[in-house]
Amino acid sequence: MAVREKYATFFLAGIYFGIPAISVQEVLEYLKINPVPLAPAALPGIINLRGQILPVLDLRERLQLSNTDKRSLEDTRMAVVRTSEGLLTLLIDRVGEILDVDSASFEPPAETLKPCVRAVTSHICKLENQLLLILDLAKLCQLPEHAITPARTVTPTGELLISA
Amino acid sequence: MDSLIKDFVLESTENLDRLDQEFVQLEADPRNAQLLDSIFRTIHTIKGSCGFLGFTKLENLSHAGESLLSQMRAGELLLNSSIADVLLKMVDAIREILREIEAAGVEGQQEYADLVEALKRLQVQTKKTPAPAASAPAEPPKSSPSPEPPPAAPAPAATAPPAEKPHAGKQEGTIRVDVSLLESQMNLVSELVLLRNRLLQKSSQTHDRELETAVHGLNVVTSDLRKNVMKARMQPVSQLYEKLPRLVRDVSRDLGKSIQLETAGGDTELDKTLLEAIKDPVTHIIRNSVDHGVELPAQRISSGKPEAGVIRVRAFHEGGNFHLEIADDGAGIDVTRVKDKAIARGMITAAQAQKMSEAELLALVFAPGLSTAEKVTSVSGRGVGMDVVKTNIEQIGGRVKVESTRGAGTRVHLEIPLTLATISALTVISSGCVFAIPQSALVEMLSFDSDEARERTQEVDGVRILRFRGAVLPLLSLRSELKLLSEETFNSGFTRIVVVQAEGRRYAIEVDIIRHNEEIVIKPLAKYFKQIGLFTGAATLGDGSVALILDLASFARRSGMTLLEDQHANKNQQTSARTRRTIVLVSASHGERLAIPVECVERLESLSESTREHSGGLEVMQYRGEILRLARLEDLLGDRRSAHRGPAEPPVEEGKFTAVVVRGQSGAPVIFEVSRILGIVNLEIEKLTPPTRHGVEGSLVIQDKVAEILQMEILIARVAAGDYQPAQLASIEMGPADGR
Repeated sequence: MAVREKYATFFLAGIYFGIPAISVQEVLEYLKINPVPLAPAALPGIINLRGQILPVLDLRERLQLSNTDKRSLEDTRMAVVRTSEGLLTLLIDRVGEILDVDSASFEPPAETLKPCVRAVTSHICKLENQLLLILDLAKLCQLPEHAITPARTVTPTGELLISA
Repeated sequence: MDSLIKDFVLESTENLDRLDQEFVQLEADPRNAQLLDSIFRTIHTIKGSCGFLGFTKLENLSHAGESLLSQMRAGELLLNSSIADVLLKMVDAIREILREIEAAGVEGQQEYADLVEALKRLQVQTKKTPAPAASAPAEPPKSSPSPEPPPAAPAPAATAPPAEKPHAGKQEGTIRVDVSLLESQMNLVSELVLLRNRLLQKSSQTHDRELETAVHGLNVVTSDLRKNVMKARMQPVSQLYEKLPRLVRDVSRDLGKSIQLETAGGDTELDKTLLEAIKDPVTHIIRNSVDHGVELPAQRISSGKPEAGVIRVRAFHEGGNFHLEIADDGAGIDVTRVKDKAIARGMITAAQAQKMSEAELLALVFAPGLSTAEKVTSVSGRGVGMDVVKTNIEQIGGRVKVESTRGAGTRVHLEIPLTLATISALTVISSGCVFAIPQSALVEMLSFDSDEARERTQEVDGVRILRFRGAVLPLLSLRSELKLLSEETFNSGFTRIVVVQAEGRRYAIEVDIIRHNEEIVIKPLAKYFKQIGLFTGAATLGDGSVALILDLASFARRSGMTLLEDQHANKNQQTSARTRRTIVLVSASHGERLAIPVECVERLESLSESTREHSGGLEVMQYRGEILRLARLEDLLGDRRSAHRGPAEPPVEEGKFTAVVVRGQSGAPVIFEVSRILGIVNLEIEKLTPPTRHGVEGSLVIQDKVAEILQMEILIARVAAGDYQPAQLASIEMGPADGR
């Protein structure tokens, strides 16, 4: 039996994504991101949302999507979502509609998807004129190895501190 | 989960905590009918509710317990320790089942048939008259109505008279509130405070009388609201006390000791999070008291003490802080044994130990890896414990102290801030990022113009040092250590430095801007940032920006500094594991290279030859109002041959000599004359070549030359004791022939 569920949709790097509408707390205009030094590349920093400090996930970086059409920060939107790890802010390009999707139209993620995207996509939904990628939030907040390791230079041994 | 079940678990768990305490009391006073009634009621309520909710295992278990208890109520049976043991086991089992229910919503797989059997056995053995409940175990538990009318709904809290819940205050007029709701209230109030601050500032600029009055009102209300919300988070320490009688009973019974627990100040309040945080440390300290504080009964009698030991726990407020004292009347800590153990473990040297005061030696019990328990028991003696206690207490901004009198007992004193919610911190900016440095770690703020900065700081290969009031401190830069982007190179013409203290060591941090001191509300960082390990949290500031709170000890460690606490930990593995250390590299008079760990270096000096004086056959000099011994490193290292190894290097400046002022963990500083200061080196040490002479830890290659790392504590102690032959002195006395 087909189950209908509501999905909040958004666009990022030209791709149409959906997440369960129930897990979206709110969508924000761009708020200043306070950088966290030495943090993984996919996590540019934290924001102050009415006194709550929330981590920001750069979805483009996380999914290793192209940067070519990257918007200016002021044009970026933020979707605050509830995950098992607490609230998380996703950087997105543009907010789409809330769609009432029939689970009968779900298909498993295609082999042709980029591995990084495929790993966090739970379903693909064929809409009339485009594809909707349904993201798995639980998987999304488990950062893969490449995203965890921050760029760090190794300190050479035996460096001279001062010479008097 | 069903809210009915949730309430049941919550209330039953609370009641069980009280049960522990009541059983221990009842054991001391088995005829106390009031206590027995209260215990019976609690078990009965649990049984009644779980029948209602369909938890069969729990029902069977509590039923068996209830039957046993009802015999006791009828006076057919008196509680003794073996019965208490089984009943306490039942309490534990019930707790376990409740935990399963809380987690999964159903009872776990574990079977409790043995325990039910044990409960029944106790009862059957003593059965004299067929009490109404005594026949119950034979029947299937479901069908057996208990002698008391079952409660209509699970409302166990109502059955407990207010007097038994000292912390709950009056029963009517209190409601249960979810902790997360309190947390979010605290958050919102903090935000409100910040908004108020902004309004206050703006309204004072408008000169609008009406607005000012309104904002003033808002100001007062906000402050009161904040106080109230903080108050709502306060909990009486009696919550912690509830767990203690059972703990003392179980542990002392295991060890065959007899111990009385006395608690005082149960209504002293503390922030809920902090109360939670001190639970484990306090439990550990009490275990310690029971295990190696209080002596065995025979031993106590022979030393003229009452057979039963006493552990006193006292809580009180003083100086705006929460204090908790745990004192026992046991044997006290054997300082000699602590000392021997610490020496045997390589934590301190014999020479160091000799100079240490009793209090300093006693403080060693907080060092990792030390346990003075003769036997390793299940309770203590594994060498982990007091160091963890110290770490935990310090993490919440508290302090721990231990005092002990041989033969009379030990007293552990905890001092904790009342609330964790806000701390006072200095905010600084580097490359546009705001950081908060806790006020408690702050030593001094410095600002140098470029000339002064050049004089005060030295840098080679990007690693730097600060001369601060003559002391030599490692200087770290937030920008380079944290690899901050510096698109706009900040240049105010001034060098701003914050001197901090972490785990007993001072160091300096260079920042772009020193903002100001403010009260900040600590908020946790998401788990994604935990692995960076340099920030204890974040805080929102008055202007809406966000500051990261620096973990100064981790920051220092990451930058390669050895902190005091690490030295103990590293001692044992220095030959195998890699350790990072910072050393001052010097050359002695004949070009040998010696490395002095930077932790004990106070100052690097160029001193005038005319300041040398002699006293008692040794060289001394007046230095900053003190008379300090002056010695040459090679005279202490006991290798006579070095005197013939090569030509002495001429002084850097005529009429002057170079010296390193060093200070050990105690005692006066000592001045060591050296030939040259070659530099300050940050090393990753993998392996040291074993030492060839006394006072040397080992040698290694630094910049293609062999250098010996000195054990300064030993050398300083020898100078202090006058235990060396000043070769230089002899030649000075020979007069001008020396060529000096």
